[in-house]
Amino acid sequence: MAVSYYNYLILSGILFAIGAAGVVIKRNVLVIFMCIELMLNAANLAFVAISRQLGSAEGQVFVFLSMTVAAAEVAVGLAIIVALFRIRETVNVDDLNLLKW
Amino acid sequence: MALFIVVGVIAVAGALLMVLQRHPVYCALYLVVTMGCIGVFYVMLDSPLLAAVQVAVYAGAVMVLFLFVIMYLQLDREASIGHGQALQRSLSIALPLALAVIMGAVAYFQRIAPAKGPMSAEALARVGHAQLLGRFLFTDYLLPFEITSLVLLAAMIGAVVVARRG
Repeated sequence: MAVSYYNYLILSGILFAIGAAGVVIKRNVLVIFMCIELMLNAANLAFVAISRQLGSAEGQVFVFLSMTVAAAEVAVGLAIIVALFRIRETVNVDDLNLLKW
Repeated sequence: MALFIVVGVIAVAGALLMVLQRHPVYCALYLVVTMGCIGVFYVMLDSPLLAAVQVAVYAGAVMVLFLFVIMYLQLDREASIGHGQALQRSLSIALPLALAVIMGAVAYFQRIAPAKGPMSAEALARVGHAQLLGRFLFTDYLLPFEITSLVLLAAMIGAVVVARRG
């Protein structure tokens, strides 16, 4: 029995919500970053599922490009975290309030 | 359907454990489980190339980068527990839960009719997924594809500049 596309969408929604919860709950910048990656992956899964339903290649091309951008984002983001750690000696978001007012 | 349920449960369990885990290395390892499950879903959705890219980029490159930074910064000690107010803590559970319910409901009730596009099942079976996707990437989406290389180059230089000591 084939799996309907909306099952993938529901699963993608659950994974996205877990990632969003992680971004809110976690205190470690690195883990928050991982949760963002999880949200990106959930969105990619929805893209592919709908692309298969519509028989279109656009969704898959977008996923391909978004994976590349995600890889670039991880490289820059981790570099920023490393630079931040050098300055503040912490990765706890509660202590990283330099831009907060 | 049975495979979907099994892999889906593993994916959701991996994601939940990642959020509930305190140790960043364990978080990263549970995230690998979820990424791998999403790769399995790509295979089930007849997209083997995307599954391969998923495993290579996310489970490979991205997670190695994460683990490298975790160990480089010596974050293997316990991260401090979040100590927000009770309202914040309950909202941080309730709002994502509501988000999941809303997105699930929209996905379930707002059905999309199947359409006949260029990437149909028989085209995938006849030409192959990588060939079809490659044809699109190098014809209709050539400009975005080329811009991607610029993005990667900029990200590489940016990462080196930002992370450089001094």
